[in-house]
Amino acid sequence: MSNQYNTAAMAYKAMDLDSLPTDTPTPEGGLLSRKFGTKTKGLDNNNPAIRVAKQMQIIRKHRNEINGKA
Amino acid sequence: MAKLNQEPSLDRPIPGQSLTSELGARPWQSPPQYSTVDEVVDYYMERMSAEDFMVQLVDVLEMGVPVTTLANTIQMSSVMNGVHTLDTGMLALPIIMEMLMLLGDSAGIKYNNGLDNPNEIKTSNPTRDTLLTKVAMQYKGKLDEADFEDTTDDTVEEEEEIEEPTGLMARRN
Repeated sequence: MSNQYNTAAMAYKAMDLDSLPTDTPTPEGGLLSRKFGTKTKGLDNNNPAIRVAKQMQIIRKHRNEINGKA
Repeated sequence: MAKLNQEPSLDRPIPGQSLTSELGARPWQSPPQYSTVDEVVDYYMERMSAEDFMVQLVDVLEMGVPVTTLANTIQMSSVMNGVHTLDTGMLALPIIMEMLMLLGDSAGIKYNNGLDNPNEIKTSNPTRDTLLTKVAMQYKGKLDEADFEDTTDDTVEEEEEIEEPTGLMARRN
């Protein structure tokens, strides 16, 4: 297999996890404030690549803990 | 090497042979077992969590096989077996790689992720090359000394040979 164009490497490098927006919804107002649901800014959960990136983030975090980078 | 290429290879499939089988007879021509990315990711997670897989993976990674090559092979074999489509496999590739690297890290081994310099490895058998490299590293000091001695001897001999005039028309002192 030629390594000139490695699909796995390209797909892995294309996953820019550092620039992925955080998924924590910001609390706004009190109990009677209008709620916008769990949808956060910039994250489209219908996109399979986003869901893959989220799972990758979890595994990457675990890897960093093992390697002592966290 | 050039001589090998000149010989005709009779083991290859003839052009159009892939079209001779009945449509749907191959696993990749039938509907896949898992159709969504989430299902594919769950499939790989379950498969990679098996103890047998982890033991084999650590052995392969220790031999120096890049993670990218492994992930490509795993994904492609699943496509060929009709587990999932090529599209969902491509989407799941980064997770497969990340999971392989997680297993390598948790085992505490040094592995080649295949991301650093893809043009560096150009051989068809990286396993053999890495084994040869390991052996060569063990004897590196001895090899360097031997090479140095050989080169010094050769240069002295060459100089001596150049000084000697040869032939009928050579100048005689």
